Amino acid sequence: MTLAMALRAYDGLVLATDSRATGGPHQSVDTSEKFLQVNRDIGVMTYGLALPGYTGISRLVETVKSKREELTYFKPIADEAGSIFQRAYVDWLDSEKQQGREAPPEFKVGFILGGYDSATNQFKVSHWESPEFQEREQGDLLAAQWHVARFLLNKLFYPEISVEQLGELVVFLLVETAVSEPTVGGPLQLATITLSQGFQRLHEQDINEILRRSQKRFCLFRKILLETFSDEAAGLTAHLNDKVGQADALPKP
Amino acid sequence: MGNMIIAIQTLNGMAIAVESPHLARSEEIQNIISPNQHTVLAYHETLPLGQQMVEGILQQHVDLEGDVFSIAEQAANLFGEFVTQNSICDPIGFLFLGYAPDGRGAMLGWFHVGDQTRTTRFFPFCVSRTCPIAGYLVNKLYAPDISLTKALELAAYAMTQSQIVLVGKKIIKHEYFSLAAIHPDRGFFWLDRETTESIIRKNEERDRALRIACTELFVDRNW
Repeated sequence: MTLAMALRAYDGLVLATDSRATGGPHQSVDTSEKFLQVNRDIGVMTYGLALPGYTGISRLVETVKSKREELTYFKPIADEAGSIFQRAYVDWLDSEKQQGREAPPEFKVGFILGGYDSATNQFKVSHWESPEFQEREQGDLLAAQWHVARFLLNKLFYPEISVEQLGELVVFLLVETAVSEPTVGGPLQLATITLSQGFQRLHEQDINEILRRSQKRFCLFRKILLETFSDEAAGLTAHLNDKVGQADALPKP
Repeated sequence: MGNMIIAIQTLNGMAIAVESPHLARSEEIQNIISPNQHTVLAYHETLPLGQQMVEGILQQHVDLEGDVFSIAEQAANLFGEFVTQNSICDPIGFLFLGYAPDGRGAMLGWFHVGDQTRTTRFFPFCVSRTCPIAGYLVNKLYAPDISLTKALELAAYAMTQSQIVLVGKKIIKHEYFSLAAIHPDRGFFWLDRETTESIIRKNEERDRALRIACTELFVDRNW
């Protein structure tokens, strides 16, 4: 499984996944590529079944490169993407059948396309999942192992958040999920999409730097959780308000 | 379709939170029974099948006796025979929670998936696999010296937060889940509506405090 996210900031989008691929209860590798740049303003991610997932996103990138004149804006790329993803899934099912294997129906593959649409001047997120591959436009999207991230996002997200801060929040969500979900983990894959910069994939060292800066934040969040559940704090919102005022332990960039 | 169960063992009892049947999409299913005063059997996986097994095996044909270890062993044998004879492949599971007469507490799981059956012992807490949020919260907030009261509050908070995310609306009524406890001396008992509601209110206050405390966690403080 995976945690895949496409989240909307005030000034752009953040796309992120982990890199773990699991092939059974005790088999996993952290080398899965689930994330590709489609053009200047658009990125694509996959989750679930690794093989048809990677085939789908790489075929989309090849197709957009070969049809640059037609596939410039978000909508025509999204229109093309659905059938490419479905074909990748059907091809994989066929190859499994040829090898005498039947894919269980609960094994799914999903795709997320996120980017800036110059035609409408809006940031957009679209989502497809097997077996229907019906396109769904989303505001924000958390897919696959999304539960813990959604719980945290409900507490930590604010709509005025900038892309830069949202990138830090996304790293926080991925790490907190990875420590509690064995099927999520490995190097983080993260990109931002803004009007001025387009699709910008963060290098491993940039993500490591965010992780380093976030160490105090992990500790502070744990402390807040524990204090919220301490006898001292039970029923005393004002007490915690004071505590927050004193908690000057946030990371400095 | 599984139902959510959270059980936390403490120094002075075992706290239990179980999702109410109508959130599990069936009004007629009881998802927890107490074979004796010190033992609880909770459905962990597919509910209708679990109910069929409990009604067909435990309640009609066999009177289980003894402590939680003995009951779990007897039931595991009977369930094993049942799934083999009926070629059941759907996932199903039960939790046996309780105290032995010598004061030992235990949380024992029996699971059947495909054609395989396994038993597991949980300690110090057990969170059914349908609630990763509950697992996350209990892992973060459990402490070895937690009291029974605090464990009930934690189980209720973990259950409510899971339901808010999974059901997609705020859960504020006590009907959405039930709280129970097994005390080494007093045995098994359900918490009444008033107590459960007071815990929910206390947790709402906690949750509000948590949100306030987290407000500036992702703000650059250089302004």
